[in-house]
Amino acid sequence: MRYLLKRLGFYLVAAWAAVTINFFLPRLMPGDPATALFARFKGKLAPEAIDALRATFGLTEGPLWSQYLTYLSHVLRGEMGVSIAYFPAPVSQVIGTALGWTLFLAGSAVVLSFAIGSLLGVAAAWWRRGWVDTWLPSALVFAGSLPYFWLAMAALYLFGFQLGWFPLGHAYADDSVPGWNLAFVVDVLRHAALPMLTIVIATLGGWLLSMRNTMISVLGSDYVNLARAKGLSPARVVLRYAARNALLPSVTSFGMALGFVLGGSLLTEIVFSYPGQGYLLVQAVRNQDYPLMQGIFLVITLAVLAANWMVDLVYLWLDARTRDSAS
Amino acid sequence: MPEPLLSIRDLCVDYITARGSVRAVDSLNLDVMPGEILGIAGESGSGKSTLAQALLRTLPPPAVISRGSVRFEGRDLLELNEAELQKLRWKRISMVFQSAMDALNPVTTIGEQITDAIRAHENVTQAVADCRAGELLERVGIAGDRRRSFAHQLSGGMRQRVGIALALALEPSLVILDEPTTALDVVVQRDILEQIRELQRQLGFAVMFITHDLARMLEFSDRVAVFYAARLAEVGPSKDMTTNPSHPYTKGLLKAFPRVHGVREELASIPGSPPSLQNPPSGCRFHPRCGQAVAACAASTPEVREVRPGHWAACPFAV
Ligand SMILES: Nc1ncnc2c1ncn2[C@@H]1O[C@H](COP(=O)(O)OP(=O)(O)OP(=O)(O)O)[C@@H](O)[C@H]1O
Ligand code: SF4
Ligand SMILES: [Mg+2]
Repeated sequence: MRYLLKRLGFYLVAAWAAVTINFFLPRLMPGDPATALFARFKGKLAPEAIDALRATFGLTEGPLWSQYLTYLSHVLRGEMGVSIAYFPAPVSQVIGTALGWTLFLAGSAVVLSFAIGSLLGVAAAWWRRGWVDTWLPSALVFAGSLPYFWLAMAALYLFGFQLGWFPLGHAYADDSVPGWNLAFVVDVLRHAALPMLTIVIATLGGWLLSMRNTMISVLGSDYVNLARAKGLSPARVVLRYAARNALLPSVTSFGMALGFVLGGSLLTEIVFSYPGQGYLLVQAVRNQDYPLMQGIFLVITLAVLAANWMVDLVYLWLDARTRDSAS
Repeated sequence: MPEPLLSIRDLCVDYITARGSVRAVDSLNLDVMPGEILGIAGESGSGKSTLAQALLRTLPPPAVISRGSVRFEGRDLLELNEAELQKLRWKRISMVFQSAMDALNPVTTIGEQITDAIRAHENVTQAVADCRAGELLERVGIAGDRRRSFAHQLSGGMRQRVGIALALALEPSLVILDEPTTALDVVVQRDILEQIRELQRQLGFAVMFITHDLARMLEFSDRVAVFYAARLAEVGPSKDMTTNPSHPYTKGLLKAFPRVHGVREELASIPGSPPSLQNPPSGCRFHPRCGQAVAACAASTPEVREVRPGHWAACPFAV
């Protein structure tokens, strides 16, 4: 418990540092780009909007520390100003919607890829030099080494355009009405299937190989040998003794992957015009929407920190040794 | 003469690697009697652990059992299929591994590791098995509630005791102890050996006790088999072997170790070092280091013959 609080404290400090950097960065840029930016939007934006923008950047009257405090209190309340590209929607709302889609698409893709890859890794190690072990790792590593952009485009062209099995983009059809009903859920799944598939294919090989290699060394360990000598069923030996231990290194990378997911799978979302974080970031950059960019960067940083904290939790639960060295 | 519990005949185990194959157990003949303590002594790398794992058929690749038979309770262990083996393992033959630290699963409690052995063979509830795990730990001198502990929370001696408790969980008729005490300090070693002997008297299982400490073994075992470079050098009753070793290698070993009882003889180690199994010496593998060697020793492999009743040695000059 103390350990968890200590880690939490560490992440809070890191989060605070990220927020602070986010505040100072625009100020460090030469020639006050923020003001220059506002000049460009003069006439295009209502004066209230410009005031709101100034507030986000903390470019209010008053000394630096009071600007900083205003900024902090805004961030704490989730107020990150108004988006320029999606004016007059507030940044927090724009990011919120995109975050939902990214969490759904890339989040489930990463979880799926991790689960399937690790299972295949266990199978490859167990039936070593069997057909799974001989063909799958090399095929998947090949798929993973293809440029992702190319892979995604090829999938879109073949299955979306040529065969017409899947829609060409977006999170749901233009004529469908969002809501918790079967028709909409099916529509969302149909739209997510192809992008998800491309992410899974591109990342599966990595999970498979790392699990396979750790499994092979764990399978040669004395405790697995003892488990076998106890007359346990092969399934129990593999899952309870070998895989449980072999999973530990993968959990760390899984946490990292999960953290980066919230940054949006940039390329996936571009190719499939999927309205997530990555797509949003591109829009923000294209429109020089600084408040939105700042908001996205902040969310990405916080997401990585949160994912790391979750890995800490999972590790404590999986491995008693960390539990002890922690207290 | 009672029937042997375990009867090993002409057993060969090879490690087949890219750099060629190594025979780690070579044409072994050996019996274990019911309820006896049979010691197996030999230098590091002489094939002791390989033999132990071969008996349970848990040898990981690249090891293969290439020849021989192992009769145990009326069946040949080498003929059993996977399902039959699974039933026999631990229920009839159990084992304490060489390194106590590595033999316990680091991520589950020791209690769980005992209960899953029990439940793999007996149709009992988790609660009953858990209760028995506690009793087993008490039996080897560990408080029963330590079953909730993880391996890393125990000392080396305690871990080894856990290994012993685990080995006794199903009251097998043969327990293989693979150097159960080498990593421990002398006092703990003696405690644990005493305990094993006590339990063995109560429960009547046979013990195959592997070590490279010949002196301690002669004290502890009823009979002792001495291995040299994957082959049997000598086997006989401990008493007889202590007072009257017949193979030149055993003689050398007994001189090399300080005697536990009686007068300490001069420490004289055997000159030279143990041969590599990759490229073993011809004929009698001990000939490069043997003080009694003659030309014929390098030419042909000496037969294992009975030099005295129940006492066998692999040297034509042994008496
Ligand atoms: N994985 C392996 N690959 C190839 N050869 C091996 C392997 N394991 C063991 N050997 C060979 O088998 C021989 C016997 O090994 P084993 O572990 O049975 O010896 P040991 O008598 O138990 O030694 P120790 O006293 O050190 O435990 C070794 O000398 C080595 O040449
Ligand atoms: S056979 Fe020859 S070399 Fe081998 S132990 Fe006997 S005397 Fe020594
Ligand atoms: Mg060994």
